[in-house]
Amino acid sequence: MIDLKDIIHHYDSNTAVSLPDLTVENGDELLVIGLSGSGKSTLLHILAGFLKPTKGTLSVNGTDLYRLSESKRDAFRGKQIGVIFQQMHLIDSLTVTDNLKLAQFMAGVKVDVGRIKNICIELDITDKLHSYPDELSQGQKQRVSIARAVVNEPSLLLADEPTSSLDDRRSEDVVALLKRMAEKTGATLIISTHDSRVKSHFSNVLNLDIKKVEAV
Amino acid sequence: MNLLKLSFSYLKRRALNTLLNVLLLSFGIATIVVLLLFSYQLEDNLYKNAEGVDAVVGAKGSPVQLILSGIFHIDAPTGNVNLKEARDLMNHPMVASAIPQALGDNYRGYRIVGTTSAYSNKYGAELAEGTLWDHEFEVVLGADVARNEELGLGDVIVSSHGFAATGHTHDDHDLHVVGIFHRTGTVLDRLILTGVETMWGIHEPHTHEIAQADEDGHSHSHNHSHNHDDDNDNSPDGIEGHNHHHTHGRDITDTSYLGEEYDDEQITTMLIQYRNPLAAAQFPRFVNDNTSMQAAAPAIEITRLLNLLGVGLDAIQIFAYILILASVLGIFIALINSMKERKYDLAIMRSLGGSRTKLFMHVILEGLLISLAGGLLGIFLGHAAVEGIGIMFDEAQQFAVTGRIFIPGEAWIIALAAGIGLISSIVPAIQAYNTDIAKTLSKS
Repeated sequence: MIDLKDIIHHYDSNTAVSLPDLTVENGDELLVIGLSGSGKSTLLHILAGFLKPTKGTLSVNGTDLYRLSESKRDAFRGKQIGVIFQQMHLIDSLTVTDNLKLAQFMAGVKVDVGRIKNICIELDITDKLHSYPDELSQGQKQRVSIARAVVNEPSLLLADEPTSSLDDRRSEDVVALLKRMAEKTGATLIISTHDSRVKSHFSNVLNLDIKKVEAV
Repeated sequence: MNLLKLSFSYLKRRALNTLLNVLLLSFGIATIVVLLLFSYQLEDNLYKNAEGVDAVVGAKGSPVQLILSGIFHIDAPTGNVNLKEARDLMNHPMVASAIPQALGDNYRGYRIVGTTSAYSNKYGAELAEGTLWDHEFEVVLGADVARNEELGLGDVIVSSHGFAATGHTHDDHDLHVVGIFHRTGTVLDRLILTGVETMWGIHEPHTHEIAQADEDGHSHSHNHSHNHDDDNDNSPDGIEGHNHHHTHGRDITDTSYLGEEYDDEQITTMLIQYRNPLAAAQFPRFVNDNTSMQAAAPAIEITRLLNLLGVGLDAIQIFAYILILASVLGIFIALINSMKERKYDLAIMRSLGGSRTKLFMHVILEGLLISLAGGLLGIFLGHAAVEGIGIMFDEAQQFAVTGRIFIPGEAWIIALAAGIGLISSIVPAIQAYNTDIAKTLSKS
């Protein structure tokens, strides 16, 4: 269960944002929609454990993420949270397999080639295992970045604008793929986007309004 | 997957830049290795060859030249001294022992030294084959001479006048190889030893006639031992106790050259050992003031030579350190630039659960990989260069320099290389350590 409470984040001494309280049950899906500047990036970064909010708590399956030390939070994230970015940010100097192995290594779990192969079969990229990212198409890159996010079987899968640069058909494919992968691993799926095409696929939608507060 | 593999993948990705930095560092390291090996072996060589020699006595002239020619057989001698005067000095109360050397000839560039068995004893040279000379015109070869010229027992060589490989050949004087020394690692390996009388015999007209008479009288195919009594009768010198050997000269013992009949002869130098340390202060002055000869102390002259050489070595060393400094900058700049390109990679690694420490180590490791590769390549290149120099010098020099030895100082080179890796990667590594995931990724 994801539980976000009383979050206020100060960007600097003049600007701050207050985020709504949020509870998502395990295995549920949530779409966060909002215009740029609405704080949805901030929300996602806080959910991912990237950004320590000025106030408030985030609990993921009972762990109060921001009460952990930074290195413990890193380790927790590696094992429990998978993130997919709009720009895929694959490591160009590593092959597809090694990119996935890197995710296991950085999370401090044992490198499991069988697991990597299974995911690649699932995502239909087995013939690209030994290719470098710059030899892949955009679609293939995106599937590798999804594979990287789910390789450690996280309980929370976050996606930041996964569809914004795709055409309608591709956009549908990616949403379906994300939902399928989350379902398969039993992960909670939270997608943050300004792309309203995605809306129809989700029953649980959070519409984020700009809710800037004066810094105290 | 591990940090080493990860760091290596980035180096491979910018292979050309990596290669450039590795090469730059390796040239600097190689220069230092060459200096280390060269000066180590040079000093070792100089002091080892001069061991047990308190003073060299020879004709007046440059003391450095006297040491170089008298001990190391590099330079030309300062001249010759009269045997009579030299003999008086041998009996000087401060002198414990004096080894005579008569120089002036070579065989294909290898110097022929007329001396006594005390000379080979001084270098601890043992015979690998045959015996020492006990007649005129019998020679014993140093190990390198025998090996390089493919000479063996019973072979006959012809000496040339002077010290260069080309020179007037005394083709009427065959020298007979009767023995070959084991390797000693000293200058002896590149010398041909014989009795003092042989050197006189080669140069003097009347001894030519002796040899000539023998040549005329007997064919070499005969068994000479049966006929040598006749030889003795024919010999104007009439030295007693002739031999059962194949050669035709006078008998030689370690003291036979001191005989008064040789008063008019000359030797080139004497290697003197003092009876007590006090002589070091008095003996050279005595020789320089009271005789037509001079005495030079190897310890003093070698130190002077090394000091002179040191200036040149220091200059090369500065050059080496400039190269190394340039490579530190090279690695530093390469890593700093790489950090800029990789800031997303680093943020991603943290988002995947990598700790700051892991990222820090990842960048340090990259610097270490370059610097250690440069260090190892540099050590290899340095040794190869010294070996190359050794082979080139082999033709002309008495110093054996080899790249096939390792000296303790080289452990420091590895430490130096590791230090270079650390110094040049610490700032980029701190940058990696400070990677802020949220800030970096929200900029994309």
